[in-house]
Amino acid sequence: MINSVKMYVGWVDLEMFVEGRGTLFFFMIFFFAVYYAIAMLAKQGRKWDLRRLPQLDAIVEGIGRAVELGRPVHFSAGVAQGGPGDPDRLHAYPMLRYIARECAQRDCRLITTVGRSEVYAVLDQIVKEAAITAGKPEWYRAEDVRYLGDDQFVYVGGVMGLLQREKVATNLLFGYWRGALINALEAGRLSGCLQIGGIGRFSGELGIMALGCDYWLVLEELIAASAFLSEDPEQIGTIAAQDYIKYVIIAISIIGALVFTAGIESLYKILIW
Amino acid sequence: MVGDDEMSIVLRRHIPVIIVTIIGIFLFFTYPIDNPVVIGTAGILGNWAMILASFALGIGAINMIVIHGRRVSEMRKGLWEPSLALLITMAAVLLLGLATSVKSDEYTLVYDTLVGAGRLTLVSLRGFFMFSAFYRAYRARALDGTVMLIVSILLMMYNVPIAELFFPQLNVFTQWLLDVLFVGGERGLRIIGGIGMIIITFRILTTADRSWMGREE
Repeated sequence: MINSVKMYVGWVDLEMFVEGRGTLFFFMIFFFAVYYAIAMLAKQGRKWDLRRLPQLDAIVEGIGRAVELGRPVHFSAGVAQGGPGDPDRLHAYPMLRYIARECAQRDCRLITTVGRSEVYAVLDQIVKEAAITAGKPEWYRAEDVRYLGDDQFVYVGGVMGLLQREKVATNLLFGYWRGALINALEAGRLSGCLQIGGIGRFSGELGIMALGCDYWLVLEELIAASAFLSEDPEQIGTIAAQDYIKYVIIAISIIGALVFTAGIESLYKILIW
Repeated sequence: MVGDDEMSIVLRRHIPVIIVTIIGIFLFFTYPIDNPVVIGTAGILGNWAMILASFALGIGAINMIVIHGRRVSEMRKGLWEPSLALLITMAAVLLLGLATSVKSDEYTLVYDTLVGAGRLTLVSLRGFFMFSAFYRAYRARALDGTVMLIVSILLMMYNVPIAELFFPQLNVFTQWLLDVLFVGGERGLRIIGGIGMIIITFRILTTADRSWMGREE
Protein backbone atom coordinates (compact mmCIF):
# COMPACT_ATOMS: atom_id res chain seq x y z
CA MET A 1 0.00 0.00 0.00
CA ILE A 2 1.26 3.47 -0.90
CA ASN A 3 -0.03 4.87 2.40
CA SER A 4 2.00 2.52 4.57
CA VAL A 5 5.34 3.85 3.30
CA LYS A 6 6.75 7.24 4.31
CA MET A 7 6.69 9.08 1.00
CA TYR A 8 7.39 12.63 0.02
CA VAL A 9 6.68 14.48 -3.23
CA GLY A 10 8.75 17.63 -2.93
CA TRP A 11 7.88 18.87 0.59
CA VAL A 12 4.48 17.17 0.70
CA ASP A 13 4.23 14.30 3.18
CA LEU A 14 1.97 11.81 1.41
CA GLU A 15 1.13 10.08 4.70
CA MET A 16 -1.01 12.99 5.84
CA PHE A 17 -3.68 12.24 3.21
CA VAL A 18 -6.76 10.21 4.03
CA GLU A 19 -6.63 6.95 2.11
CA GLY A 20 -8.65 7.19 -1.11
CA ARG A 21 -8.62 11.00 -1.20
CA GLY A 22 -5.03 11.79 -2.23
CA THR A 23 -5.44 11.54 -6.01
CA LEU A 24 -8.72 13.41 -5.74
CA PHE A 25 -6.96 16.23 -3.91
CA PHE A 26 -4.35 16.62 -6.66
CA PHE A 27 -7.07 16.52 -9.30
CA MET A 28 -8.86 19.30 -7.45
CA ILE A 29 -5.68 21.38 -7.55
CA PHE A 30 -5.46 20.69 -11.30
CA PHE A 31 -9.12 21.62 -11.81
CA PHE A 32 -8.55 24.83 -9.91
CA ALA A 33 -5.60 25.65 -12.21
CA VAL A 34 -7.83 25.05 -15.27
CA TYR A 35 -10.60 27.17 -13.78
CA TYR A 36 -8.26 30.00 -12.83
CA ALA A 37 -6.52 30.08 -16.24
CA ILE A 38 -9.86 30.30 -18.05
CA ALA A 39 -11.23 32.91 -15.64
CA MET A 40 -8.12 35.04 -16.29
CA LEU A 41 -8.53 34.65 -20.06
CA ALA A 42 -12.17 35.69 -19.74
CA LYS A 43 -11.16 38.71 -17.69
CA GLN A 44 -8.75 39.74 -20.46
CA GLY A 45 -11.60 39.70 -22.97
CA ARG A 46 -11.49 36.18 -24.43
CA LYS A 47 -15.00 35.04 -25.38
CA TRP A 48 -16.45 31.58 -25.86
CA ASP A 49 -19.45 30.66 -28.00
CA LEU A 50 -22.20 29.93 -25.55
CA ARG A 51 -25.63 28.58 -26.32
CA ARG A 52 -28.37 30.62 -24.62
CA LEU A 53 -30.54 28.40 -22.48
CA PRO A 54 -34.22 28.51 -23.52
CA GLN A 55 -35.17 28.31 -19.83
CA LEU A 56 -33.73 31.79 -19.29
CA ASP A 57 -35.95 33.17 -22.04
CA ALA A 58 -38.84 31.37 -20.37
CA ILE A 59 -38.12 33.25 -17.12
CA VAL A 60 -38.36 36.57 -18.98
CA GLU A 61 -41.56 35.38 -20.69
CA GLY A 62 -42.93 34.33 -17.30
CA ILE A 63 -42.35 37.81 -15.90
CA GLY A 64 -43.96 39.31 -19.02
CA ARG A 65 -46.94 37.02 -18.52
CA ALA A 66 -47.29 38.20 -14.92
CA VAL A 67 -47.17 41.84 -16.06
CA GLU A 68 -49.88 41.22 -18.69
CA LEU A 69 -52.12 39.43 -16.20
CA GLY A 70 -51.43 41.99 -13.47
CA ARG A 71 -50.49 39.21 -11.08
CA PRO A 72 -47.31 38.64 -9.04
CA VAL A 73 -44.31 36.38 -9.57
CA HIS A 74 -43.26 34.02 -6.78
CA PHE A 75 -39.62 33.14 -6.15
CA SER A 76 -38.45 30.46 -3.75
CA ALA A 77 -34.87 29.66 -2.76
CA GLY A 78 -35.94 26.26 -1.45
CA VAL A 79 -36.45 24.67 1.90
CA ALA A 80 -34.11 24.23 4.88
CA GLN A 81 -31.48 21.51 5.34
CA GLY A 82 -27.99 22.10 4.15
CA GLY A 83 -26.50 25.45 5.10
CA PRO A 84 -26.99 28.96 3.79
CA GLY A 85 -23.95 28.26 1.62
CA ASP A 86 -25.41 25.02 0.35
CA PRO A 87 -24.49 24.81 -3.38
CA ASP A 88 -28.16 24.62 -4.40
CA ARG A 89 -28.93 27.80 -2.56
CA LEU A 90 -25.86 29.56 -3.97
CA HIS A 91 -27.24 29.08 -7.49
CA ALA A 92 -30.48 30.69 -6.41
CA TYR A 93 -28.91 34.02 -5.38
CA PRO A 94 -27.80 35.19 -8.87
CA MET A 95 -31.12 33.94 -10.26
CA LEU A 96 -33.03 36.04 -7.73
CA ARG A 97 -30.90 39.09 -8.48
CA TYR A 98 -31.70 38.83 -12.20
CA ILE A 99 -35.39 38.07 -11.65
CA ALA A 100 -35.81 40.90 -9.12
CA ARG A 101 -34.15 43.38 -11.50
CA GLU A 102 -36.38 42.29 -14.38
CA CYS A 103 -39.47 42.53 -12.18
CA ALA A 104 -38.47 45.97 -10.87
CA GLN A 105 -37.88 47.29 -14.38
CA ARG A 106 -41.32 46.11 -15.48
CA ASP A 107 -43.09 47.09 -12.25
CA CYS A 108 -44.08 43.50 -11.65
CA ARG A 109 -44.67 42.46 -8.05
CA LEU A 110 -42.24 39.79 -6.86
CA ILE A 111 -42.98 37.75 -3.75
CA THR A 112 -39.90 36.01 -2.39
CA THR A 113 -40.48 33.32 0.20
CA VAL A 114 -37.76 32.12 2.53
CA GLY A 115 -37.59 28.58 3.89
CA ARG A 116 -34.44 29.00 5.93
CA SER A 117 -33.95 31.74 8.47
CA GLU A 118 -30.20 32.18 7.80
CA VAL A 119 -30.77 33.23 4.21
CA TYR A 120 -33.56 35.71 4.90
CA ALA A 121 -31.19 38.68 5.24
CA VAL A 122 -29.33 37.70 2.04
CA LEU A 123 -32.48 37.36 -0.06
CA ASP A 124 -33.95 40.58 1.34
CA GLN A 125 -30.75 42.45 0.52
CA ILE A 126 -30.64 41.00 -3.02
CA VAL A 127 -34.20 42.18 -3.73
CA LYS A 128 -33.53 45.61 -2.21
CA GLU A 129 -30.33 46.13 -4.22
CA ALA A 130 -31.99 44.89 -7.42
CA ALA A 131 -34.64 47.60 -7.00
CA ILE A 132 -31.93 50.24 -6.58
CA THR A 133 -29.98 48.94 -9.62
CA ALA A 134 -33.15 49.04 -11.71
CA GLY A 135 -33.57 52.68 -10.69
CA LYS A 136 -36.80 51.98 -8.79
CA PRO A 137 -36.04 51.82 -5.07
CA GLU A 138 -39.75 52.41 -4.33
CA TRP A 139 -40.56 49.05 -5.98
CA TYR A 140 -39.05 47.18 -3.02
CA ARG A 141 -41.60 46.19 -0.37
CA ALA A 142 -40.24 44.64 2.81
CA GLU A 143 -43.35 42.50 3.25
CA ASP A 144 -42.82 40.81 -0.11
CA VAL A 145 -39.79 38.98 1.24
CA ARG A 146 -41.42 36.55 3.62
CA TYR A 147 -39.97 34.02 6.00
CA LEU A 148 -42.40 31.10 6.23
CA GLY A 149 -40.58 28.66 8.50
CA ASP A 150 -37.65 26.26 8.59
CA ASP A 151 -39.71 23.06 8.56
CA GLN A 152 -40.17 22.03 4.91
CA PHE A 153 -43.86 21.21 5.28
CA VAL A 154 -44.61 24.35 7.26
CA TYR A 155 -42.82 26.36 4.57
CA VAL A 156 -44.55 24.60 1.69
CA GLY A 157 -47.93 24.96 3.41
CA GLY A 158 -47.29 28.71 3.41
CA VAL A 159 -46.25 28.65 -0.25
CA MET A 160 -49.35 26.68 -1.26
CA GLY A 161 -51.61 29.20 0.47
CA LEU A 162 -49.74 32.13 -1.03
CA LEU A 163 -49.95 30.76 -4.60
CA GLN A 164 -53.74 30.48 -4.29
CA ARG A 165 -54.38 33.67 -2.32
CA GLU A 166 -52.14 36.03 -4.29
CA LYS A 167 -53.10 34.46 -7.66
CA VAL A 168 -49.48 34.09 -8.65
CA ALA A 169 -48.84 34.04 -12.42
CA THR A 170 -45.32 32.61 -12.49
CA ASN A 171 -43.85 30.26 -9.93
CA LEU A 172 -40.05 30.11 -9.84
CA LEU A 173 -38.60 27.36 -7.64
CA PHE A 174 -34.85 27.18 -7.17
CA GLY A 175 -32.50 26.20 -4.36
CA TYR A 176 -32.59 23.07 -2.24
CA TRP A 177 -35.76 20.97 -2.28
CA ARG A 178 -36.93 17.81 -0.58
CA GLY A 179 -40.10 15.73 -0.47
CA ALA A 180 -42.46 18.70 -0.14
CA LEU A 181 -41.55 19.93 -3.64
CA ILE A 182 -44.47 18.09 -5.25
CA ASN A 183 -46.90 20.02 -3.00
CA ALA A 184 -45.51 23.37 -4.13
CA LEU A 185 -45.56 22.33 -7.79
CA GLU A 186 -49.06 20.92 -7.79
CA ALA A 187 -50.41 23.92 -5.88
CA GLY A 188 -48.82 26.10 -8.57
CA ARG A 189 -50.38 23.94 -11.28
CA LEU A 190 -53.82 24.28 -9.66
CA SER A 191 -53.37 28.08 -9.54
CA GLY A 192 -52.55 28.12 -13.26
CA CYS A 193 -48.95 29.26 -12.80
CA LEU A 194 -46.21 29.00 -15.37
CA GLN A 195 -43.63 27.00 -13.46
CA ILE A 196 -39.88 27.17 -13.88
CA GLY A 197 -37.51 25.37 -11.56
CA GLY A 198 -33.97 24.24 -11.08
CA ILE A 199 -32.06 21.74 -9.01
CA GLY A 200 -28.27 21.77 -8.70
CA ARG A 201 -27.60 18.32 -7.27
CA PHE A 202 -28.67 14.77 -7.93
CA SER A 203 -31.64 13.80 -5.76
CA GLY A 204 -35.05 12.20 -6.02
CA GLU A 205 -36.53 15.66 -6.56
CA LEU A 206 -34.98 15.87 -10.03
CA GLY A 207 -37.76 13.69 -11.40
CA ILE A 208 -40.44 15.60 -9.49
CA MET A 209 -39.12 18.87 -10.94
CA ALA A 210 -39.35 17.37 -14.43
CA LEU A 211 -42.93 16.26 -13.77
CA GLY A 212 -44.22 19.55 -12.43
CA CYS A 213 -42.30 22.31 -14.22
CA ASP A 214 -42.92 23.79 -17.64
CA TYR A 215 -39.20 24.55 -17.89
CA TRP A 216 -36.46 23.37 -15.62
CA LEU A 217 -32.73 23.78 -15.24
CA VAL A 218 -30.94 20.61 -14.30
CA LEU A 219 -27.60 20.30 -12.53
CA GLU A 220 -24.87 22.01 -14.58
CA GLU A 221 -27.42 24.00 -16.58
CA LEU A 222 -28.33 25.78 -13.36
CA ILE A 223 -24.70 26.61 -12.64
CA ALA A 224 -24.22 27.84 -16.19
CA ALA A 225 -27.43 29.87 -15.97
CA SER A 226 -26.41 31.55 -12.72
CA ALA A 227 -23.07 32.54 -14.31
CA PHE A 228 -24.81 33.70 -17.51
CA LEU A 229 -27.22 35.92 -15.60
CA SER A 230 -24.46 37.57 -13.59
CA GLU A 231 -23.32 39.28 -16.84
CA ASP A 232 -19.79 39.12 -15.43
CA PRO A 233 -17.25 37.99 -18.11
CA GLU A 234 -15.19 36.14 -15.50
CA GLN A 235 -18.17 34.11 -14.34
CA ILE A 236 -19.35 33.47 -17.90
CA GLY A 237 -15.85 32.18 -18.70
CA THR A 238 -16.22 29.62 -15.92
CA ILE A 239 -18.92 27.89 -17.99
CA ALA A 240 -16.12 26.97 -20.43
CA ALA A 241 -13.95 25.79 -17.50
CA GLN A 242 -16.85 23.60 -16.42
CA ASP A 243 -16.87 21.93 -19.85
CA TYR A 244 -13.09 21.36 -19.87
CA ILE A 245 -13.24 19.80 -16.40
CA LYS A 246 -16.05 17.59 -17.64
CA TYR A 247 -13.86 16.34 -20.53
CA VAL A 248 -11.05 15.53 -18.08
CA ILE A 249 -13.46 13.58 -15.86
CA ILE A 250 -14.82 11.65 -18.85
CA ALA A 251 -11.22 10.79 -19.84
CA ILE A 252 -10.41 9.67 -16.27
CA SER A 253 -13.55 7.52 -16.17
CA ILE A 254 -12.62 5.79 -19.44
CA ILE A 255 -8.98 5.30 -18.34
CA GLY A 256 -10.15 3.99 -14.95
CA ALA A 257 -12.53 1.50 -16.56
CA LEU A 258 -9.81 0.28 -18.98
CA VAL A 259 -7.15 0.05 -16.25
CA PHE A 260 -9.48 -1.90 -13.96
CA THR A 261 -10.62 -4.21 -16.78
CA ALA A 262 -7.03 -4.85 -17.92
CA GLY A 263 -6.01 -5.55 -14.32
CA ILE A 264 -3.12 -3.03 -14.24
CA GLU A 265 -2.95 -2.88 -10.47
CA SER A 266 -0.26 -0.22 -10.04
CA LEU A 267 -2.15 2.34 -12.16
CA TYR A 268 -5.43 1.46 -10.50
CA LYS A 269 -3.87 1.99 -7.06
CA ILE A 270 -2.70 5.46 -8.09
CA LEU A 271 -6.22 6.34 -9.25
CA ILE A 272 -7.79 5.28 -5.95
CA TRP A 273 -4.91 6.50 -3.69
CA MET B 1 -7.44 58.91 7.45
CA VAL B 2 -9.86 56.39 6.04
CA GLY B 3 -13.14 57.97 5.02
CA ASP B 4 -16.52 56.62 6.22
CA ASP B 5 -17.38 55.33 2.75
CA GLU B 6 -14.07 53.53 2.34
CA MET B 7 -14.42 52.03 5.83
CA SER B 8 -17.94 50.95 5.00
CA ILE B 9 -16.73 49.15 1.86
CA VAL B 10 -13.97 47.45 3.86
CA LEU B 11 -16.48 46.31 6.48
CA ARG B 12 -19.26 45.33 4.11
CA ARG B 13 -17.27 43.79 1.29
CA HIS B 14 -13.64 43.03 1.97
CA ILE B 15 -13.85 41.58 5.48
CA PRO B 16 -16.63 39.04 4.68
CA VAL B 17 -14.84 38.03 1.47
CA ILE B 18 -11.53 37.51 3.32
CA ILE B 19 -13.24 35.46 6.07
CA VAL B 20 -15.11 33.29 3.57
CA THR B 21 -12.05 32.71 1.38
CA ILE B 22 -9.77 31.74 4.29
CA ILE B 23 -12.36 29.48 5.94
CA GLY B 24 -13.38 28.01 2.58
CA ILE B 25 -9.81 27.06 1.67
CA PHE B 26 -9.21 25.70 5.17
CA LEU B 27 -12.35 23.54 5.08
CA PHE B 28 -11.39 22.26 1.64
CA PHE B 29 -8.18 20.86 3.17
CA THR B 30 -10.10 19.05 5.92
CA TYR B 31 -11.44 16.58 3.35
CA PRO B 32 -8.17 15.01 2.12
CA ILE B 33 -5.96 15.71 5.16
CA ASP B 34 -6.07 13.55 8.27
CA ASN B 35 -4.75 15.71 11.08
CA PRO B 36 -6.33 16.08 14.56
CA VAL B 37 -5.67 19.84 14.68
CA VAL B 38 -7.27 20.41 11.28
CA ILE B 39 -10.29 18.19 12.07
CA GLY B 40 -10.70 19.78 15.53
CA THR B 41 -10.61 23.31 14.12
CA ALA B 42 -13.18 22.36 11.49
CA GLY B 43 -15.44 21.11 14.29
CA ILE B 44 -15.10 24.42 16.16
CA LEU B 45 -15.98 26.34 12.98
CA GLY B 46 -19.02 24.10 12.55
CA ASN B 47 -20.17 24.99 16.07
CA TRP B 48 -19.74 28.71 15.36
CA ALA B 49 -21.91 28.30 12.27
CA MET B 50 -24.62 26.69 14.39
CA ILE B 51 -24.53 29.56 16.89
CA LEU B 52 -24.88 32.08 14.06
CA ALA B 53 -27.77 30.03 12.64
CA SER B 54 -29.67 30.32 15.93
CA PHE B 55 -29.35 34.11 15.77
CA ALA B 56 -30.74 33.99 12.23
CA LEU B 57 -33.84 32.16 13.48
CA GLY B 58 -34.58 35.27 15.55
CA ILE B 59 -34.35 37.43 12.40
CA GLY B 60 -36.87 35.13 10.71
CA ALA B 61 -39.24 35.42 13.67
CA ILE B 62 -38.95 39.22 13.64
CA ASN B 63 -39.80 39.24 9.91
CA MET B 64 -42.93 37.19 10.63
CA ILE B 65 -43.99 39.47 13.49
CA VAL B 66 -43.49 42.62 11.37
CA ILE B 67 -45.44 41.29 8.34
CA HIS B 68 -48.32 39.81 10.31
CA GLY B 69 -48.35 42.65 12.87
CA ARG B 70 -48.81 45.15 10.00
CA ARG B 71 -51.69 43.12 8.59
CA VAL B 72 -53.41 43.10 11.97
CA SER B 73 -52.79 46.79 12.70
CA GLU B 74 -54.09 47.79 9.25
CA MET B 75 -57.04 45.32 9.60
CA ARG B 76 -56.50 44.05 6.05
CA LYS B 77 -59.59 42.31 4.76
CA GLY B 78 -59.39 38.52 4.86
CA LEU B 79 -55.82 38.60 6.13
CA TRP B 80 -55.86 40.09 9.62
CA GLU B 81 -57.72 37.21 11.28
CA PRO B 82 -55.25 34.42 10.33
CA SER B 83 -52.35 36.80 11.02
CA LEU B 84 -53.71 37.50 14.51
CA ALA B 85 -54.13 33.75 15.11
CA LEU B 86 -50.52 33.23 14.02
CA LEU B 87 -49.19 35.95 16.34
CA ILE B 88 -51.20 34.66 19.32
CA THR B 89 -50.03 31.08 18.65
CA MET B 90 -46.41 32.22 18.30
CA ALA B 91 -46.57 34.08 21.62
CA ALA B 92 -48.39 31.21 23.38
CA VAL B 93 -45.91 28.55 22.21
CA LEU B 94 -42.96 30.80 23.08
CA LEU B 95 -44.30 31.48 26.59
CA LEU B 96 -45.12 27.82 27.14
CA GLY B 97 -41.59 26.84 26.09
CA LEU B 98 -40.07 29.42 28.42
CA ALA B 99 -42.37 28.54 31.34
CA THR B 100 -41.87 24.77 31.10
CA SER B 101 -39.21 23.45 28.69
CA VAL B 102 -39.17 22.43 25.05
CA LYS B 103 -39.02 18.81 26.22
CA SER B 104 -42.00 19.04 28.61
CA ASP B 105 -45.17 17.03 27.97
CA GLU B 106 -47.28 20.19 27.66
CA TYR B 107 -45.00 21.72 25.04
CA THR B 108 -44.73 18.45 23.10
CA LEU B 109 -48.51 18.09 23.13
CA VAL B 110 -49.05 21.60 21.74
CA TYR B 111 -46.32 21.17 19.14
CA ASP B 112 -47.58 17.78 17.97
CA THR B 113 -51.19 19.00 17.84
CA LEU B 114 -50.39 22.14 15.86
CA VAL B 115 -47.38 21.31 13.70
CA GLY B 116 -47.60 17.53 13.64
CA ALA B 117 -51.19 17.48 12.39
CA GLY B 118 -50.47 20.07 9.72
CA ARG B 119 -47.36 18.23 8.56
CA LEU B 120 -49.27 14.96 8.31
CA THR B 121 -51.95 16.64 6.20
CA LEU B 122 -49.37 17.93 3.76
CA VAL B 123 -47.52 14.60 3.66
CA SER B 124 -50.82 12.85 2.86
CA LEU B 125 -51.54 15.35 0.11
CA ARG B 126 -48.30 14.27 -1.55
CA GLY B 127 -49.92 10.94 -2.42
CA PHE B 128 -52.69 12.64 -4.40
CA PHE B 129 -50.32 15.16 -5.96
CA MET B 130 -47.95 12.41 -7.08
CA PHE B 131 -50.82 10.62 -8.76
CA SER B 132 -52.07 13.71 -10.61
CA ALA B 133 -48.52 14.62 -11.71
CA PHE B 134 -47.84 11.10 -12.99
CA TYR B 135 -51.19 11.02 -14.77
CA ARG B 136 -50.30 14.18 -16.69
CA ALA B 137 -46.72 13.17 -17.47
CA TYR B 138 -47.02 9.49 -18.35
CA ARG B 139 -49.00 9.60 -21.52
CA ALA B 140 -47.78 7.74 -24.56
CA ARG B 141 -47.84 10.81 -26.82
CA ALA B 142 -44.16 10.85 -27.75
CA LEU B 143 -41.36 8.31 -27.82
CA ASP B 144 -39.74 9.45 -24.55
CA GLY B 145 -43.12 9.52 -22.77
CA THR B 146 -43.86 6.00 -24.03
CA VAL B 147 -40.48 4.70 -22.82
CA MET B 148 -41.08 6.27 -19.39
CA LEU B 149 -44.53 4.72 -19.26
CA ILE B 150 -43.24 1.23 -20.13
CA VAL B 151 -40.37 1.45 -17.62
CA SER B 152 -42.78 2.67 -14.91
CA ILE B 153 -45.11 -0.27 -15.55
CA LEU B 154 -42.15 -2.66 -15.39
CA LEU B 155 -41.04 -1.14 -12.08
CA MET B 156 -44.53 -1.33 -10.65
CA MET B 157 -44.78 -4.98 -11.66
CA TYR B 158 -41.33 -5.61 -10.17
CA ASN B 159 -42.63 -4.47 -6.81
CA VAL B 160 -45.67 -6.76 -6.66
CA PRO B 161 -45.19 -10.47 -5.81
CA ILE B 162 -47.74 -11.68 -8.37
CA ALA B 163 -45.53 -10.48 -11.24
CA GLU B 164 -42.67 -12.62 -9.94
CA LEU B 165 -45.00 -15.61 -10.03
CA PHE B 166 -46.30 -15.14 -13.57
CA PHE B 167 -43.50 -13.28 -15.36
CA PRO B 168 -40.19 -14.22 -13.70
CA GLN B 169 -38.17 -13.35 -16.83
CA LEU B 170 -39.63 -9.86 -16.90
CA ASN B 171 -38.33 -9.22 -13.41
CA VAL B 172 -34.85 -10.38 -14.48
CA PHE B 173 -34.96 -7.72 -17.19
CA THR B 174 -36.20 -5.06 -14.72
CA GLN B 175 -33.43 -6.00 -12.30
CA TRP B 176 -30.92 -5.52 -15.13
CA LEU B 177 -32.44 -2.10 -15.83
CA LEU B 178 -32.05 -1.16 -12.17
CA ASP B 179 -28.52 -2.52 -11.77
CA VAL B 180 -26.99 -1.40 -15.04
CA LEU B 181 -28.87 1.34 -16.89
CA PHE B 182 -30.23 3.22 -13.90
CA VAL B 183 -26.99 3.08 -11.92
CA GLY B 184 -25.01 4.23 -14.97
CA GLY B 185 -27.37 7.14 -15.54
CA GLU B 186 -27.45 8.04 -11.88
CA ARG B 187 -23.66 8.10 -11.61
CA GLY B 188 -23.45 10.34 -14.67
CA LEU B 189 -25.89 12.79 -13.07
CA ARG B 190 -24.02 12.68 -9.76
CA ILE B 191 -20.72 13.47 -11.50
CA ILE B 192 -22.26 16.38 -13.41
CA GLY B 193 -23.77 17.74 -10.20
CA GLY B 194 -20.38 17.35 -8.54
CA ILE B 195 -18.65 19.36 -11.28
CA GLY B 196 -21.17 22.11 -10.71
CA MET B 197 -20.41 22.16 -7.00
CA ILE B 198 -16.66 22.31 -7.72
CA ILE B 199 -17.15 25.27 -10.06
CA ILE B 200 -19.38 27.19 -7.65
CA THR B 201 -16.81 26.60 -4.88
CA PHE B 202 -14.02 27.98 -7.08
CA ARG B 203 -16.17 30.97 -8.01
CA ILE B 204 -16.70 31.83 -4.36
CA LEU B 205 -13.12 31.17 -3.26
CA THR B 206 -11.78 33.40 -6.04
CA THR B 207 -14.47 36.01 -5.16
CA ALA B 208 -15.82 35.93 -8.72
CA ASP B 209 -19.25 35.22 -7.22
CA ARG B 210 -20.20 37.44 -4.31
CA SER B 211 -23.95 36.98 -4.56
CA TRP B 212 -23.98 35.17 -1.18
CA MET B 213 -23.40 38.59 0.42
CA GLY B 214 -26.64 39.83 -1.07
CA ARG B 215 -24.89 42.89 -2.48
CA GLU B 216 -24.09 43.99 -5.98
CA GLU B 217 -20.76 45.75 -5.48
